[in-house]
Amino acid sequence: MTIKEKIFLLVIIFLGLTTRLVRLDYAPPSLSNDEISIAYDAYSVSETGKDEHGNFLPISFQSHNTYKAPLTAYLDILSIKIFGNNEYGARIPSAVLGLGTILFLSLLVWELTKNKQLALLSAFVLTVTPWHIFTSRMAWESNVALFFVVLMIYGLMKGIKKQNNWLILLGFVSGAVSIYGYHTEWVFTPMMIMTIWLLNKNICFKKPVFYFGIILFGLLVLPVFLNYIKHPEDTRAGTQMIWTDPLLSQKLENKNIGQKIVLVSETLVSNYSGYLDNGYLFFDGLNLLTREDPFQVGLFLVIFLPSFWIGIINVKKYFVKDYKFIYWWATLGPIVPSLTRGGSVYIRNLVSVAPYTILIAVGSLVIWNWFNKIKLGKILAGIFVGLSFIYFLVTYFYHFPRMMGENFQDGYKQMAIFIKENEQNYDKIIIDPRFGANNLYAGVPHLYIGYFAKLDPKIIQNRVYGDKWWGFGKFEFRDINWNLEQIKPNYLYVAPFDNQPENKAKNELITVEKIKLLNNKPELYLYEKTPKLIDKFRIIDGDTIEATIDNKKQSIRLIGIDAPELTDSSERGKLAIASKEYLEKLLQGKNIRLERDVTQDDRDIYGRLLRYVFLEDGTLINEKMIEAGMAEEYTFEKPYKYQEEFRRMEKGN
Amino acid sequence: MICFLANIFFKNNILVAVSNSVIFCLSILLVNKFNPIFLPILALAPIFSFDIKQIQINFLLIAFLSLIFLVKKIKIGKNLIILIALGLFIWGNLLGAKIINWPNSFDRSQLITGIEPIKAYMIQHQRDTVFLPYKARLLIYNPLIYIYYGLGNMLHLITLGNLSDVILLANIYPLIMGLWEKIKEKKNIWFLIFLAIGLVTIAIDKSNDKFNSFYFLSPILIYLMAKGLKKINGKIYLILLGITILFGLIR
Repeated sequence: MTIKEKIFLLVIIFLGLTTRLVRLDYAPPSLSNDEISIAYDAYSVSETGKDEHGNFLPISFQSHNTYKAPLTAYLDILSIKIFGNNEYGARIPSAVLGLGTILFLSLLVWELTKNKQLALLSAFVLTVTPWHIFTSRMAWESNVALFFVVLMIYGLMKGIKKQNNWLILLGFVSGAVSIYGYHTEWVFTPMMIMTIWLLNKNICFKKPVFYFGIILFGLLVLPVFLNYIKHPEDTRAGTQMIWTDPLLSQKLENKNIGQKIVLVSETLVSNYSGYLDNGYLFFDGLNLLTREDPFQVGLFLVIFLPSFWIGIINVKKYFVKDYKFIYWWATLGPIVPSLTRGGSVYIRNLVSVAPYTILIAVGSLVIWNWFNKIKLGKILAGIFVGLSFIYFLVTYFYHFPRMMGENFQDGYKQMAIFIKENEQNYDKIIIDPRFGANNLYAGVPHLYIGYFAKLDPKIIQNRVYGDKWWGFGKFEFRDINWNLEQIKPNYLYVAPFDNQPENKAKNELITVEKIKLLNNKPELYLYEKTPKLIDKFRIIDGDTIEATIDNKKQSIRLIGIDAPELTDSSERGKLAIASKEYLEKLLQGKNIRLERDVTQDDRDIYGRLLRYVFLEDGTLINEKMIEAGMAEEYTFEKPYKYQEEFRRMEKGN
Repeated sequence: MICFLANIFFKNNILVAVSNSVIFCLSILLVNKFNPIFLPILALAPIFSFDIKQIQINFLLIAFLSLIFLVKKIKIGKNLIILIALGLFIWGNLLGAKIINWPNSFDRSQLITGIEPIKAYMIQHQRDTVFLPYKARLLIYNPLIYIYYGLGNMLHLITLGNLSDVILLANIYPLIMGLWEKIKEKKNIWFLIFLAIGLVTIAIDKSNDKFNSFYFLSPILIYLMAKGLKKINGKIYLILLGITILFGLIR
């Protein structure tokens, strides 16, 4: 390698590592509903051998009836054990395999062309491709499966060229593993094996290892297909194909077989066409921002659009013996995703990122060589690629987490952590699983609770169902109608921001926590019943009172303040008396309301309830004591809710 | 004749049928040599039996093609005629995209610059990207976004599916071959200018109805297809054609 090539390689490695591994907990902003399902199932299987629904070591994870391929979840078991129940635990396997895809794609190009520049360019293009960066940073089955597809192709092609049986077998085994990775590969992998076989038929038909490999492949994937045959309705293949689309199903009604074939074929062609739409590939396909935002990013950097087309024309020049294979690879990629409903879904077509990368790399190399006579051209090309990439990084790491948090159910993790820290304070936790404006979307908050709060999976496996609700343990999941809801003490209510308490409920509830997105937009509110007004109490000293609550005398220690003890001598003793008298004056003839602080324990080491004291008009007595100089601000162990205000008040004095 | 009959079959009025047929014929005559065997298939392309609902556009297109025809025949005054043809071409494209209402009333709301959210998002990003100095934000989030948006807009229209609807799936094959042949020719500056005008109109038009967008480009499409017919593999074309016809009949 020349010095320049070594530097280029180091740049690729640096970019690869930073874009795939850094801040996996920040961008994307939260584990999406698919990711949390995979992560939770991995956690559940690691603890109990069963998934969320109680299925033992499943081959197809039921999830929320989206039936996921198993490989990603099983890989996550190890990463969760190492990194814990967090975003890294869920996403690391996909990120590492994403880096592996870059490596093996580059090795494949080298093997087929013996062109170092092209191999490095292929690695570079894939490294900076938004599509691949995005999918590598998420726990997505398609990205995991992609690695094994590329490894399969590498193994088979190199094995054929080097006449190496072990590589050929590696290819078949890798192909089999890809089937466990994602559903697109169920059809795509066999198509690719057939393509490689037919394009190299002179060798393949004569080598016994190929026949052995096919048998081995078949045996390894048999469990998947047996499972599909046994439960066809319980697989993604049974729920996502275009003929299950309600609109198309309606059109197919009362049509003869020929007309049905035509309608399905037209839909297939339309979907396939959508995947090749250059506007989608290079301008706005990644959907990192809200739909109408024009500052979108394509699946590939826009600067590579000319390279793509130049690459298509020039593939034969570099892949002298294997250009047909590259064309077939690029052509076959979108076929299987085109058979699914929901329009152009780039996750499903991730198999195409590899051949398109190769085409772009070829085109880029052709352009680079054109610029051999014009040095300025190379500099400008480098600058434009750099600017394009930086623009993507700004959009992905800055705007995307802020604008799209809601789409990733951001807020549920914070809710889960709150519940983990405070669960013992509540008898029941009611969660309204809707979110978004007008409560349009239905989330899966139970999985976030189970994963981040590390609940015993057996509790979730033993869920119960009622009329319009379901639950496990002290958790109940249902839509909350505040007009009909009976507000109970020691209950925690979790509701989306667009379902805030009204009328009677509004007066009966206080907000204990507001969960916001990164852009400060409110997402979830947590409520509990407003404590009753208390009229029977007596003052013990400047920071302690005794109140009768539910016919029982309770000692109350005011949070955040410390008044001198009455037993103190001389000056402090005098202040203690003054402090007590001031508190008596503040509360004389008044009713009080006590408010708990969820960041603090319920009681202190002396068994006293730790509370804020409010008058009916909302005056916070704790703060009043500091304001009057009758008590000092006091933090016991952890910061409390009003710490900042109390400290400011004390400073002002 | 086939083009005329196709128009009648799709219930277009006589004037539209005649004008579409004339457009088709004039476009074909612009091609130096073509394979006449497959011409009837080109005539069946849906774009040639499309009623754009503004007969003025049909006449403009005929006038444009006549001028181009004239340019090929005369020896003096070519530049003036090409300029007039260029003007007609621009006018016709803008009428087809409804950016201009007959005869020359400019409708800004049809342009992508009339899409309000684009400006709103530009201002929002200028405000929100606080980690960058303000001047740097203006470099990234500025009205140049309309060019980016327009290019994406244009590419969203030129897809396999839309071309299939406009000229039939089978005819995409000669279209690509014809385009490739044209690119290889050295003297094609005017062709590129006319193509660019058509594409820019598609880019700036926010509505993107495929038939309206492609109608004034139909002479270019037929020109390329006819040119491409010389280079295609007849068997492949017939297979694609067979599939297209079969689907049409079954439908």
